[in-house]
Amino acid sequence: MGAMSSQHRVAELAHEGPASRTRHRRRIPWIVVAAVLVVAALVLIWAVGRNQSSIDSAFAAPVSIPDRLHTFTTIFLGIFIEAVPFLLLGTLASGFVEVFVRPETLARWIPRNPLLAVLAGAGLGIVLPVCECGIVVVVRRLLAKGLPLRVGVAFLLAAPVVNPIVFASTLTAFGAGKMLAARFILSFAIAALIALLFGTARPEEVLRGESATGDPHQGHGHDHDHHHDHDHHGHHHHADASVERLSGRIRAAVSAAADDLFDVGRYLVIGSLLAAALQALVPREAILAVGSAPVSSVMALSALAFIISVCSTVDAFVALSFVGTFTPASILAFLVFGPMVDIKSALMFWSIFRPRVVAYLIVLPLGATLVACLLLATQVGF
Amino acid sequence: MQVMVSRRVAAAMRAAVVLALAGVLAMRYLDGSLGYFINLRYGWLTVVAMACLVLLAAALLTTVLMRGNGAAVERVPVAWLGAALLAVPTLLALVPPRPLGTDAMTTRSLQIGRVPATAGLAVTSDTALAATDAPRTVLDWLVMFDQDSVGGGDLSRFAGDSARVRGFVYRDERFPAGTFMVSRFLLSCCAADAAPIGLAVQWPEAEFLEDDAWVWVTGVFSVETFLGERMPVLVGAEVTAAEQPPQPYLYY
Repeated sequence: MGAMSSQHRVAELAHEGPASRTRHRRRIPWIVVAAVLVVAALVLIWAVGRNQSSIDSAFAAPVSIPDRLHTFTTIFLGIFIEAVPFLLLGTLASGFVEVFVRPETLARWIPRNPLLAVLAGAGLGIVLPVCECGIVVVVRRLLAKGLPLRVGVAFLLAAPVVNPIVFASTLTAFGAGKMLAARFILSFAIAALIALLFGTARPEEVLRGESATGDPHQGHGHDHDHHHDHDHHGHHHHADASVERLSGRIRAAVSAAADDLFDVGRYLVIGSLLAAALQALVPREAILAVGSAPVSSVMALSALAFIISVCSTVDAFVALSFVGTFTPASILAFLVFGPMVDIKSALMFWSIFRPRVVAYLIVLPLGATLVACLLLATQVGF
Repeated sequence: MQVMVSRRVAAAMRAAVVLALAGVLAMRYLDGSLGYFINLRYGWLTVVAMACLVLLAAALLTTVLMRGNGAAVERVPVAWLGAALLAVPTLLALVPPRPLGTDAMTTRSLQIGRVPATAGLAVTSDTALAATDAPRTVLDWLVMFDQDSVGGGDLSRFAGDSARVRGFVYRDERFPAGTFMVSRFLLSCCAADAAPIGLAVQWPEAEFLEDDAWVWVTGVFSVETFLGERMPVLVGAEVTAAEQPPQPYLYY
C-alpha cells in the first residue's frame, strides 16, 4: 500500500502541479446536525399547519402547508441564487491565492513596525481575498513560514470581511450606505485591536506544537472526499518542470476551488435553510419580541452568526432577511462577528492554536463586537 | 457509515452535483422565473455563477477522464452530507416556481398606504417622479404619498386623483367589509428582503375576491381612515381580472 501510495502521490503531483494544498478538518457529526434540522423543520411545518390561528398573526387568514412550502422554497432559492455567484468567486479566488501566492514572499512585505504590521495584516485580505472558510489554512501556512503572530491574527480575523469580494456582496445586498461602511471599519478595527493584544506573546505560548514548529501537517482529520494533495514541505520544488506550467497551476487552482465549494457550500445551504425557515415559518411577532430590543437582538444575531456559519462572501444576503425585524446594530453584529468566529472556523482554530487561545479568539471578538454595536445603537443611533 | 469509492467515481459524483446546480440556474434564467427569486438587476451574476460552475465541473471531469493520475484506483471516502446538502437547491428547484404571495405576508409587516422605511426613499422618489408617461404603480403612488407627508401635507391633495394599478388581492380579518388591499412585493436584492406594500381599495364585492388573484383596479382616491390611519383609499373602484405580470415584484 505504501509503495502504491507513493506512486499515486507522484502521479498526483504530476497532475496537480505545485499547487499542493493542506486541508485541516475536524470530524463533525454533520449527519446529526442535518437530522436535527430536518426533524425541526418538519415539526415546525406540522405545527404551523395544525395550529395556524394561534401561532400565526392573529389577523392572517389560515394558509395551507403547500403555500407555506412554496414561500419557504422561494425565499430559500432567492438567498441561494443571489449568494452562490459570490461563493463561487470566493472559492476561485481562494484557490488561486493558494496556488499562486507564496507565503514567504508575503512575509517579506510586512512592515517591521508592530502597529504598521498589524494594520498591514488586517488589510491583507484586500490583495488575498480569502473567506473565513479558507483563511485558517492560509494563516497556518503563513505562521509556519515565519509570519509574525500579531500579523497572522490580524489577517485571520479581518480578511474574511476586509476583501473585495465581501465588499461587492455587501454592496449588492445593502447598497453604499452606513451598513457597508460600519461593517468594514468595525471589522478592521476589532481585528487590529485583538492582534495588538497578541503582540507580546511568543508563538510557542499560542500555537499548537506542530504549528509553532512549522509542521502544519500533523494531527488533522478529513471529512470529505477531496483530492488529498498535501504540501509535504517543498515536494513541489522537486516536481517535474512540466508541472510548473501555467496551465497545470490554473487547473490546480480550479480543483482547489471545487474542493472549497463542497467544503463551504454546505454551510451556505444550511444558513439559507435556516434564514428561509425563520421568514416563512416563524411568526413575525415572535421574531420582533427578540429582534426589536437593542441588547437581545445584538446577542441573538451574534449567536446565530456563530451557529449557522455562513461564509462571509454571502452572509450579507442572509442578513438581508433580518432587515425590518432586527435592529440595524444587531445586523451589523451578525456581519462583523460571524466572519471572525463561527462554529466551523472555531473548530479550525483548534488545529492551530492552544485551547486557551481559541477561547480568547472567540470571546474577544464577541465582546468587542457586542460593545461596539451596542455603543453604535445607543450613542450614535445606528 | 463510510463508503469508499475510487477518486474518479467521487469526482464524477461531484461533477454531477455541480452540473445539476448549473442546470437549475440555467433553467430559471431561461424560463423567465429568475425574477421570482432575485432582483433581475443582478441576473448577470447568475450567468457568472453558471460559468463558474461549468468551470469547476470541467476541473472535476478532468480527474474523471485523465488517465495515469491514480484516480481510478485510489480509494476515498464519499462525503455524502456535503454532496447531499449541495443537492438541496437542485431538489427544491423541482417545486414549480411561484412568486411570493399572501402567504408570505403573514410573517411580514404590511405597509398599507406607505413605503417601508427600509426602502430607501431617495431612490424610489426619483423612480416615481420619472414615471410620468407610464401608468403609476402601487409603489409610485406610495412614494408620492410619503413625499407629501414628509413635506407636511395631509394627503388631501390626492383626493379626486384617478388611478389604475395592478396587484394581487390581500384581505385579513382586520379589513372592514367591502375592502381589500391591491398588493405588490417590494424587492431590493432577493426574496429574503421582500416587503409587502399596497393600496387600500373599497369595493362592495371584495369578499368574493380570491387571495392572490391578480387584478386591475381603477378608481379615484379619497382620503379616509383605514385600519386606524388616514390614507388615500381607492373608492368607486372598478376591479377586473389581470394577468400576473412577468416581473411580479417592484424593485427599488
